[in-house]
Amino acid sequence: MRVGDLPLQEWEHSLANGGVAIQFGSFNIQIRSNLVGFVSLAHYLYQPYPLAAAEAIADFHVGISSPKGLRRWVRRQSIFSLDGRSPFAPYPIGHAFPALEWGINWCVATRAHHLLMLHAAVVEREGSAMLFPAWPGHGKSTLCAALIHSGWRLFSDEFGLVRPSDGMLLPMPRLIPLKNESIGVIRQFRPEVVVGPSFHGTRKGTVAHVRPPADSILRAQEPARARWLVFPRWVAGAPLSLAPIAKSQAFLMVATNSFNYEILDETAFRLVTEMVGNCDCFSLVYSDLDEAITALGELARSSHG
Amino acid sequence: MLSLVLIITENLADDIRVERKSIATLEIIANPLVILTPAAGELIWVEWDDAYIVYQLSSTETHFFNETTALIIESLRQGPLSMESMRNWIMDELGGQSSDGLQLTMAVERLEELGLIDASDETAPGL
Repeated sequence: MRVGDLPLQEWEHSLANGGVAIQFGSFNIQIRSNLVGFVSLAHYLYQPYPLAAAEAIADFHVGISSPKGLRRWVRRQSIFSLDGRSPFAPYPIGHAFPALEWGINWCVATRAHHLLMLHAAVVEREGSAMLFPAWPGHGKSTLCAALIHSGWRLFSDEFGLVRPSDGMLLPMPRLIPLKNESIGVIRQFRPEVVVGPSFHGTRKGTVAHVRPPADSILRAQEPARARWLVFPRWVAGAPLSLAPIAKSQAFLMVATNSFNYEILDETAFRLVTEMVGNCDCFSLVYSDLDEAITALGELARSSHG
Repeated sequence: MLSLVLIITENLADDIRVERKSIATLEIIANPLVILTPAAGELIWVEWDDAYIVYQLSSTETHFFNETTALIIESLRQGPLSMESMRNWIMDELGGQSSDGLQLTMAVERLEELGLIDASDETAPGL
């Protein structure tokens, strides 16, 4: 059963009373909320996501709700909670949806230490995964959103989740939060893409969420092995450049872009060296999405022979 | 934690302040023998390009070593060496290319800080 199979009224009732557990790849997230605006938007954007089985254990119990006291009524706010505790300051009520999305990412980044977590977008084609480790502002999410609407499957725009037992990458195809100019770029790139409303004046500027294609969500339990490491950087007006880089340099960038390299110690070293050793590593500078997508598609085709 | 032992410049050298007497300092006054510590026997090495990525089990740190740094450890696997013998061995390994003396000294100091090499109580013969 999927979120969209629940009538809006039932969805609203369930969210307010005990919550609803949604499957985001290998994570089950129990979400509660009593905020009307949030509820209807979440129903729309989470529509294709599967509900977790009734007997499944939730990895995180999160909520987005009104705080107690005056702020429930005057200059209304929303507050994110994890296991009933609120780790962050309240957000304006209108930012409840991005607040919950950030909160869920925060839960994963700070707690899912049974996996190596790389700060990277990950997409897949024909069983091979391409990772885009990058610092914020380097165009990773925009490129990722464009690729998954050009024949690639979304694993994640934020987390390269590596399973320590076999080094496989696990999908977590969540919504992609585009920021500022990227929103218009993707709307123009593929007008059919499902993009939620723009939230202006958030802590990260204007944010809007892209819903991944249904196929990526449907196949969220299919892992893949890393085949390419591509370090992207969007530079206005720059000609396309896709150039090989040294593995030692790639290792440094992957390791320093990890959320928990230091926590996993030797396991992280082993996983990152194996991944870098097995991948072709490139630096990508681009300004035009179509050019970048064509180049990456050719790279994948040539590698697959 | 990631740490870097890469190209060491003179500017960097100017900034270094070593409080305890390092092997490099001792060399001037006593020509000590340099030895590997037990921690150096538990390193996991990956070599790519001209760089060595090394995981140190004892400290759970990952290091980036350049060739000179890697050769220091390699040279000491044969047993204790004086700085001079070590330098000669490394020069031979580099095919006669002279490893910059300052670079060698800095690499020795860094390896000592990491607890991978130490000065032996014994003194090298020839003093």
